[in-house]
Formats: sequence, structure tokens, C-alpha cells
Amino acid sequence: MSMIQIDNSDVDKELGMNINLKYEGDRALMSIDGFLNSDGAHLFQEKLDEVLKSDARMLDLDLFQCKNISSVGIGKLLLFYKDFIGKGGDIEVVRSSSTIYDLFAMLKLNQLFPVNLE
Amino acid sequence: MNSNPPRILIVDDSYSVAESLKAYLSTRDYSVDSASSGYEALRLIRKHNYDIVVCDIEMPEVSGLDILETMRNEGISKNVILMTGYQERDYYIRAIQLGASDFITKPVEAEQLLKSVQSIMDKDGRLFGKDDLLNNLDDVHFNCVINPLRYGGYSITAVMGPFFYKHINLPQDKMNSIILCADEMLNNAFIHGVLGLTSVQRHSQSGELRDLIAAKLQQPHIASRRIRFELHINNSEECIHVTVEDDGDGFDHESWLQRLAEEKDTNLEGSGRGLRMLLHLSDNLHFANGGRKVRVTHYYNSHQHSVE
Repeated sequence: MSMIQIDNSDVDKELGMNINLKYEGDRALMSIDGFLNSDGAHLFQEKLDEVLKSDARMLDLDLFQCKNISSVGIGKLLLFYKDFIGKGGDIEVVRSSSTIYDLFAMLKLNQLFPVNLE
Repeated sequence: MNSNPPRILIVDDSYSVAESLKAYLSTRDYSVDSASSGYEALRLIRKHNYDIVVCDIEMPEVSGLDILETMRNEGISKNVILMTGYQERDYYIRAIQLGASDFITKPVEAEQLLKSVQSIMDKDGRLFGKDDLLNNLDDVHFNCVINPLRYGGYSITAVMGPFFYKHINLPQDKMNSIILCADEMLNNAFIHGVLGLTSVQRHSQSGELRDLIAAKLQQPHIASRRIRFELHINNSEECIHVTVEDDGDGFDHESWLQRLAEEKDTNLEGSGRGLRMLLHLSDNLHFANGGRKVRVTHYYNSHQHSVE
């Protein structure tokens, strides 16, 4: 019996995710590249926890390279938002892809913090 | 998925160049769009399934090479023709490494572009083969049954997603929506259908939640539950159905949908967000078996939305 071998080498990057976090003064700059689904949500939470424990009072989110965010990822962001504004912080989505922009508008997250398209 | 005329995107920050090339190719039975910036081009490339992107190299902010590199980084392997006045060797090497299909020297002669486009389409036609199999069958079903005891160890979408990206010929945004819907539905089936976690339990700290899930899965009636996943590619009706069914208690989906429709303000709580995402991402949402079975449908060329 022969087996079908699936070569995904050139498309594995489709579902990957990378989070870059750096600080400038009291601002935290977080950029998310890729697909934030339930698999990547724990990494997202770790990064948000790090921001919460830092001296940052502003989180700038760059979601221009973010392909999509699942409800689990949105849930992590909203839990963070409640805690962050509780300690005087605020969030701004400084750039987003049209997919993310539409998603945030649909969930009315743009009523909570500014969401910029690009 | 292959019956439509070849789709081409022309990208040039000069409106007159883009429009004249667009007009010329349109008369040759190609379906042509144009973009006047790199940002606009990337947005269109993610949204539509172009066969060829014809791209100026010199553009402010996002260059033609940036577009090519972003496409490859995102796994979009479509043909790219670069229009260039550059002669630098390093530039050509980089573009070839990224898989540029052809180069045309500026100022571009329309007939030269047409020759390049035809040559690429002919080559693609000759290469028609196993990668196009899924697009040329009327009906394809992928089914699997998931044991919740092993659910945490792997991800269906992470394993199957790359395969579908490679073999289903749909725009990237559409594929992203399908994969995200599958992810949402499987997650809901596991958290709600199999484990029956309450809202408070779901929002406990990650270590605590992990222990709770492990304890739940020790219970025989929970461990015996299964999640059934199906992806149905229906090429004759030009749509893809994703169906997930669990052995849980189901839920009152009608009252939930009513509640979501009446919601005016931002919902900071967790309840209903997954359902709202499915409504947003799919063209059709269908419930059966008391809410245990959920099916979303994505049409290849439709933006209509309905709930059953």
C-alpha cells in the first residue's frame, strides 16, 4: 500500500504566528504577525501579562500583518484591557489589516479604544 | 473554481500607466484590477485570487519587491511580473530568490506585457496536475472523529490548514475565514460540548484551567464523548461547508442568536463571542441536532449571509 505524503513546507508559514514586544518609555509596542487562533492564544496571554506587570501605560498594537484573530484571542485582549485600564493604562491599535479592522468594528471594540486601518 | 477568465492585478503608483495596461489586457479577455499603492495591492491580493500580479518596482512606502516578499512570507505563491528600470544584479537575484516569474523593462509596452502574461499562463496550463486535483473534483469530503483525551495534543487546523491552503484555489482571506471558523467550531465543541465548562471556569488562570480540563476528562461520560469534523468541498455548487458535531448537551442557539442581534454595546464578557465570529466570518450558519451540530458555508463568490 502506498502512502500519500503531503509536502506543506512552503505553506506551513500560513498558520504560524509571531509576537514582537518592545518598550519605549512608558509605551509598550506589540506587533502580531500571522494567525492568532486558539493555538497561539497562550503566547499572546504571556505577552499581555508581561505588559501588565511592566511600567507601560500605553499599549500600541500593530496588527497590520495579523491575518485574523479567533474569539479566544479576542477574549485574552479584553481580559487584559479590563485589567490595564484598571491600573490607568490604555490601548491603541496603531495599524491593522482590513480583515482585523472589520472584525474589531463588528465586535464594537473600536468603541473601547482607537482602531486605525493602516 | 477554474471556469473564470484569468485574473490579473496591475500595481503602479502612476494611475495612467496602471489604467492603460488594465484597459489593454481587458480587451484580451483577462479580468483585470488595478492598485495605485503597495498597501492597496496587498489588500486586494489577500482578498482575491489573482493568477498574476504585475507590479512596478519603484513605489513609495511599499515597493514591488516588498509586495513580492510579503506575498511569499504569507505563503501566496502566485505569479509576479516585475516592471523595472533597475539593472542592479543584487536586485534581480533577490527577486529571483523570491520567485518572481518575469521582468519587464520600463517603459512597458503593452504587447510585451501580454507576451509575458501569455507565457506564464501557458506554463501554468502545462503544469496542471496533482496540485489542482481538489479544484477539479465535483465533491470532496474530509472527515475525522476526534477523541477529546487527545484533543489538547494537536490542532486539526494547524495540521490540515496548510494542506488546504496549498490545494484549494481560493483567495487567502477566504481561506483564513474558513480555517478560523473551523478553529472556532472545534474549540467550542471541546469547551462547551465535551467539557461543558461554565463561563467562570473558562476564565480561570491557565494553570487552573489546565487542571480542571484534566479532571473533567477523567470522568468516563466526558471521556467517551467525541467530536466529528467534516470539510466538504462542493465544487459543483461552488462552496465549502465545515461541519462540527459533538456529543454534548447542545444549546439554545435560537435565543443566543436573538440575544446577539439585540446587543448594542461592546460585549466585554466571553459569552457568545465565538458565535458572533461564526456569523461574521461565514456566508451561511446552520444549526441542527439541538445545537450539537453546527455547519458554516463559504461560497466562492458570494458575500450574502444567512442563518438557518
